Amino acid sequence: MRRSLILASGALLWAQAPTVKLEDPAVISKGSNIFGARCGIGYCHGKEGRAGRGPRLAGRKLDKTYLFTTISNGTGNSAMPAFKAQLSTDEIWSVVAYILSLSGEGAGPAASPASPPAPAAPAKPADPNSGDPEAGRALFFDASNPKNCAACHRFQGRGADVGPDLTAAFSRPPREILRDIIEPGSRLAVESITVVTKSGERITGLEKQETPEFLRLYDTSALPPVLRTIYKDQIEKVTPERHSPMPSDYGRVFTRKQLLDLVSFLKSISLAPGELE
Amino acid sequence: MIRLLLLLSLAGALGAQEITSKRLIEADREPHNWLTYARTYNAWRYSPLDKINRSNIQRLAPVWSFQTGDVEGGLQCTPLVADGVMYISTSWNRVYAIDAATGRKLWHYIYEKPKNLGVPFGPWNRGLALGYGLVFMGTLDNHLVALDAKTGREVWNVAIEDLAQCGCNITGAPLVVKDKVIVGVTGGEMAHRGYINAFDAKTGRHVWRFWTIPGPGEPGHETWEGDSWKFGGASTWMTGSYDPESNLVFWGVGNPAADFYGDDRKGANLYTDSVVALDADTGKLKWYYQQIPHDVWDWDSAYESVLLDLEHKGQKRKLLLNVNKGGYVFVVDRTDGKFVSAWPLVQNLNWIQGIDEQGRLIGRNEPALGKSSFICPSVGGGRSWNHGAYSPKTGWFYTTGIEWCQTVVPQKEEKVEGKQIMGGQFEFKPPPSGEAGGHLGAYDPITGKRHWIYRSKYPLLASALATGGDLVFTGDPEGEFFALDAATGKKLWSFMTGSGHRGSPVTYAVNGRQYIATPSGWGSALAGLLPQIWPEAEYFPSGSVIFAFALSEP
Repeated sequence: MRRSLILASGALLWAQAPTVKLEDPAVISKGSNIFGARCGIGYCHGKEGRAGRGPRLAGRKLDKTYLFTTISNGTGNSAMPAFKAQLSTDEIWSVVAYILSLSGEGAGPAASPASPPAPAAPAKPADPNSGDPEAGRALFFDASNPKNCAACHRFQGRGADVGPDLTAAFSRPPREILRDIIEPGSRLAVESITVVTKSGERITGLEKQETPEFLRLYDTSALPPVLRTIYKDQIEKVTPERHSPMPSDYGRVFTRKQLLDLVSFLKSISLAPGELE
Repeated sequence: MIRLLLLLSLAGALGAQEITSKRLIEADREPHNWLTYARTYNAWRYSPLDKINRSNIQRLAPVWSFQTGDVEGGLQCTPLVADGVMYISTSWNRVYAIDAATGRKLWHYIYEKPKNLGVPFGPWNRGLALGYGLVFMGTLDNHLVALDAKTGREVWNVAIEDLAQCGCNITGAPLVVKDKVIVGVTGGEMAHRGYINAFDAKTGRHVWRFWTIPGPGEPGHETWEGDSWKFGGASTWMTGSYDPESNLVFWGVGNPAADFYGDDRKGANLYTDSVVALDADTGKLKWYYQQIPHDVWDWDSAYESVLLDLEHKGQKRKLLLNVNKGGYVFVVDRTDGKFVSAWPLVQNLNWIQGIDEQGRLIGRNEPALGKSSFICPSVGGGRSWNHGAYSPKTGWFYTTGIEWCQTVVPQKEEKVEGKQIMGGQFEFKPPPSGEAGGHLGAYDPITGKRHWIYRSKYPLLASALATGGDLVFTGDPEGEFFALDAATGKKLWSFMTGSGHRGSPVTYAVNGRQYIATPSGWGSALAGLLPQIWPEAEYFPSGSVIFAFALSEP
């Protein structure tokens, strides 16, 4: 473990010379503000890094490269998130500067944290004939709708793994995406199967895995899908179904505007304005 | 009694009967078993077993221990016992079935978690549920799984909502009610909207969801400002109770998010800090009682709801007792949610001056944005989640309490869906007068009249167990597991298990022999925060072991 940490940080060293002056009180103060809002909160590292569910940071001699790497990439299988998508390199280094200042060897904690400014909401153009990607995103992840897309599909790391990951859907023509939403059976990429068990239970859905011992399938008759594990000695028969496991009624449950929103959301990664028209 | 036990254990030896809804409803008729999270649906954590009692407790000795090996986050579960088999859950969602008489492992199940799972609270799990030949567990990535109780093989597994999306997951024990498994979620410190879900126990199919924050058009939605309802927390991280007579499930709801900053969620913020009563079949709200309107202190109502049929002011009442994290105990009528009484569990309490006859909070002391306020108790709670116990023999409620305070500085934080939003920073402090510490007391459940109190140096963070042998068991952070006289609070017996207590002890019988079993294993978010007052607590060893005790031969 120790060795892998050193190796990992060694390999990244070239990119990780501090981009700010770690002893500069202004940098430490900036780091203190970020730490207060992101790291010292709640059950994490505690106020001024003194203690929390996360490790104590105050009064410890910590390596700056190790801190930078950990803050940037997080720690797997733990509550420590990766901050590189949320904070700039300069900001991460200023947090490192602040944590180093807590070691008890240099200057004490800098100014108390201030409130970060709330970001202004961007104004959205209102064009009734084009999809709104933000509205589409909300629809895709709408947990209050049991048939929301994320109950089965992943997009940019969020959602479930039942159906295909749709992050790359933008590469396909919008009409094709629309057809796949409203007529999922028209391009039968995957068929449902029905498993009848020896106790008489019928389960229809999407096959996930088959081993010599068991069959695993997503029961898609209710959402969210239920992953069932059926041991072979419990199976009476397995039959293919000529339909897609995806619900076929999105053309009815979503309005035209909502469908446009969804398509433009899925296309939004590379969507040029007006491409849907 | 003894004959009944013998008969029942014989039935166990001949092959355990399936655990049906009827058996769960009548769980009190099976003194040798501990079939649900709190043994009975009324959340008493009381067992009538009395072979181990005040007269012979000196002969109580360890008979086996079971090491799980997963020490991260300690061991926080309530073991379940059905017909001689014990079921436990550990950190990282591992499940073990153990021979309850010998401690030998029968099977284990290791949950296949996603790689590099970012766990929002911690890897612990607080318990399982049993029914229909299955073992149910909520997971760290917000799934609910069902295992074959005989083999530990996974039968079904349903993803409730992506953790990356809601920032919520499951650490609490599910509750099997009739043909359904009901389960809550964590996430009171996360920008999301809380819920309680019910699934068909046999198929895993979703049956109903109760949103703990009303959506647009629903009554109570107006208690949230702007779009704050979408990010208001209202988690349901502990386990509810069930009253078969009214077919109501009672579930405690957590705090609103952000915890300490509430200026952008003006209003009462229903149903945070409330107990909700739901129709068990449909999840429809029958009534609610909100203890803390517009909470800015992190005072969850998520702990146990203890169901009591007691006489009050000359009338027989059906009551519900719920300990609020802010250190007050609330009692309401469980038929309609009307306020009955509230009483303080701790001495150090300054966030309000009191509670009036109608249950209204008097003299709120709200921390101001950007300023440091001194608030008692600390955000760790006047009590943590670890449960109290009610003994029908004494008629008293036994619960721990913690004397401690904190400074808190509220701050405005950006709301990002599924990300943490505490709205402030806190630091634990000893009370201004007197020492910080914990206690376990015996209280009249309605008036709060204290009959005795046992004081401990550190907060007691394990649940209480009350028995027909007039004993109350719990454990402390240093690893001592002990029994008090239920009538006097006098310490009668103790055993050093070597790691602190953060779970829930139980009692059961196999072949007529009574056992006391306790998880031992220090850990949890609060365990990590104790060094802010007690620096030495940083070095309390973690662990993860079940100790079982029985009477040695005379």
